Amino acid sequence: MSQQGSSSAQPAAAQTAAPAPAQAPAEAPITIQEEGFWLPRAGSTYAADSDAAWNLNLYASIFFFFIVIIPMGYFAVKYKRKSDDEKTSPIDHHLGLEVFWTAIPTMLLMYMFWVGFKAYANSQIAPNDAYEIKVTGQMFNWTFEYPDGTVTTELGVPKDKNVKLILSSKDVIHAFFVPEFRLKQDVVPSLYTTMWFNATIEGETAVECAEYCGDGHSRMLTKVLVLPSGEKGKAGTFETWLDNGGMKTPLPPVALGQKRYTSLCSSCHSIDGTRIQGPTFQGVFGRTEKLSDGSSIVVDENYIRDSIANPQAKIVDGYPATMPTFSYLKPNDIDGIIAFLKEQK
Amino acid sequence: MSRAITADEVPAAPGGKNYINAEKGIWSWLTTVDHKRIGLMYLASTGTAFLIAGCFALLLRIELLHPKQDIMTAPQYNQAFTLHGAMMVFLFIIPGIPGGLFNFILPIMIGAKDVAFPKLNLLSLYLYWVGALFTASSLVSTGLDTGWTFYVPYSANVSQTAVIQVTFGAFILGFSSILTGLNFMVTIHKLRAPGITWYRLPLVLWAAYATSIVQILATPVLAITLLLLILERAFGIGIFDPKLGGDPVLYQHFFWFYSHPAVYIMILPGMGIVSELIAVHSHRRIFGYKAIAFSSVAIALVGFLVWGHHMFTSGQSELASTVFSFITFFVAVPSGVKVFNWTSTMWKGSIAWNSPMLYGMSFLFLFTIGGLTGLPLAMIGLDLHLHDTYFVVAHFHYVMMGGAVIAFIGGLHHWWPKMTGKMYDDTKGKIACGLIFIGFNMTFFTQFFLGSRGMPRRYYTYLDQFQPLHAFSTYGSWVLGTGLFLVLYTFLESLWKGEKAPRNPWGGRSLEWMTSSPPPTENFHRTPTVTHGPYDFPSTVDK
Repeated sequence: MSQQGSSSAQPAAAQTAAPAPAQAPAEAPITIQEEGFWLPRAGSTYAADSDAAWNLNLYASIFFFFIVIIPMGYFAVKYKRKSDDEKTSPIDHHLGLEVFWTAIPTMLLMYMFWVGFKAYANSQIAPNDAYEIKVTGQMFNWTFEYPDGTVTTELGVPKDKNVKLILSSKDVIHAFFVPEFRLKQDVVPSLYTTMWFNATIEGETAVECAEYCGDGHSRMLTKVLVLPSGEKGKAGTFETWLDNGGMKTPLPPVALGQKRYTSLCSSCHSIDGTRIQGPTFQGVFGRTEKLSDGSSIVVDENYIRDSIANPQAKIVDGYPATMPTFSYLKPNDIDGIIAFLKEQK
Repeated sequence: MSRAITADEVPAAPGGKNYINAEKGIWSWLTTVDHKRIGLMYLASTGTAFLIAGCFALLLRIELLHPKQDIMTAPQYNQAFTLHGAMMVFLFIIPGIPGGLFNFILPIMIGAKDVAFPKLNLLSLYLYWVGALFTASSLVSTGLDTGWTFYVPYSANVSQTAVIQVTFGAFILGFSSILTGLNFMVTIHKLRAPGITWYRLPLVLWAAYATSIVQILATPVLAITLLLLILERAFGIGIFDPKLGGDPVLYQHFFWFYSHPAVYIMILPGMGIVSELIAVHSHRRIFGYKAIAFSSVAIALVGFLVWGHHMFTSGQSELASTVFSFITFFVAVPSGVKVFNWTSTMWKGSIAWNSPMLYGMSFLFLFTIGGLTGLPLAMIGLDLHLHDTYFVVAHFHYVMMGGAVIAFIGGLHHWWPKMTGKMYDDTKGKIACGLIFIGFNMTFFTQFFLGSRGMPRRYYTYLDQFQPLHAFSTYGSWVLGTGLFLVLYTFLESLWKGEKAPRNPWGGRSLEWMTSSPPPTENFHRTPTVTHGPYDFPSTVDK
């Protein structure tokens, strides 16, 4: 399988004659680390609770499956009809058996409930010392706001620390799902929901939207970056990452723009000419666009900036006016996006 | 219970008249009040819905062959999965077995001439058609992309598609369902022939009765919910949309208050059919008659108290989730009791290896998996991982398709000779059953892995790492589709050149096998008197 990643991750450098300015290394595609046969890698303390419940269920299910299916298969073969006047057993009930196969499963089921409930209780009660991050879901991307005011589009969290997410939606219902953490929480407009975890493995893992939210649902993906916790300024730590506005090191403009494009724009704007929700970014800079009010405009720095700050004002003719406002983008983010768009020839 | 065997057989009608050739012309069908003709029209209509919705499923699987966009854009994919689900649920599974099969067999099995309210029965069919037209009209207008669950606020103010048409269609279909349930309930109470005590009812009728309870009590809630949604979308009345001061989680409570019991509208009839298939084709008294009968009623009743297990991650209170999880485990008990009794029925039976019995055994296999994979979803802590992933998709397909649809097809093979007067090619029937069984497991067992490994539902593009499993699932859907088309071919071939069916091809003991195939319009020339249970086979040796 080719590891091309999403179409948006195609290196822009190949298409440009300009001396390759410091391009960021191609982003690693979003993945979930596979480990066992059934489940992904266990990346949080909660995963242990969840996986214990899974294992109990798996073994109980295999047991009950075979105590039904083996007799069925055996009877089907042993008592296969050989002639039409065969005699069959008149025994049509057995109270002891009925009680037995009602009572034993009931007890096991109560135990399964208890295991599921215990895990659930752990998952719902966040420790008091948890580090709080505000999560906003919006068709079709995620944003994360940290206590210091930094806003990112990938969730950075310190390893081995309790983290509590406070989730809300700006439009429809989404669900925040981190398979490696075994956790999922609906993100509902008009309601704050919460989720807490303690990530145990340094590295990256996928976040997926798990509640159907419209045309961009399957592209509403991002990453959790689990970073070692340490001092601000020390390379590679969560604190340094946060200080750099959500980057391990400050990025040059084109790479920054590419990063912002991938997480914010790519679910609606392609860079290869494909029409998605919005106009493609292939050859967008300098292009003359006809607007829905009949006028036309040349795409330049100001039109791009206006379109990000006030996307409903100048809609390209023939496209729906559905783009949300990205008011939290900082000036250097917008400069980066402009630089990146100039590269899309 | 009397062991005497009295065949209350009716003589063949004079002149070879039966309900099919008694009257001629399309008008005689459209104005009929004969439950058998209405049943056949239901079968044809729901079968058509199954075919269309099934083709959507095959297209969905082709799109999912590769991680990137293949044959459909996102809006097209979303419409295809929505219409697949909505048509399968509202136009096929819910009306299919009650409207199609039960309509035909229920009055005959209790020795009645017709259902209690024959004209109301025809009205149910017309309401079904009107509801189906509203739903199908979305196909030629803007489609529908909300998912069959119509979750707000997406369905209230975001979706640009035909939400009002389809929800209004489902609203009308609900009335069809309520009237059918009411009709069957009254029929079972009032029209049983002399000698048919409650404990001499074939078990399929206990299931029909339990289904009717759910249809009558739950469906009005769906009607109210959909009406509120229509009011909100059309007139901006704020009930569910938070922008208008509403509560989107309230919608989910309303929706699942119907739609979870509706799961039992779908599976209880299947369970009833399987009781017949296994007992009749094993020529053996059913094991645990009362346990199976009362477990149907228990499932119907407990089923009303578990809707919140669809909402463990929705933001409902932790206490509510805990209580719903606890009650949900009690649905597993009567379901397990049924499975154990069916297996025991095969013990020391005389098991025919024919198409209906193979479907009966396929049901046992697939429904056992479907039931057991419900347990991890009921464990709240574990559901946080599995909810809204392909694990759920696989689970409910094992119950809905592996359970209800397999039982439906098995029941069709069982009663086909009675309905049409024609036999079908049993070899082709068995091959088709095998293809369906293999294809089904290839398609859906794979999806358990996809889900537990973290693949969410309703994605038309997905992470590259899931490609091999998705591809295998798609290949399975082709085997499954081939099997289903072979079933269609086998039945069409039977109509065209099938041998004439005898009165009682399987040696059954319930009343439908005592009348001719196909039955006369009035089912029996005189009201039969029953002196034995439905499973008192002559092969049974007394101790």
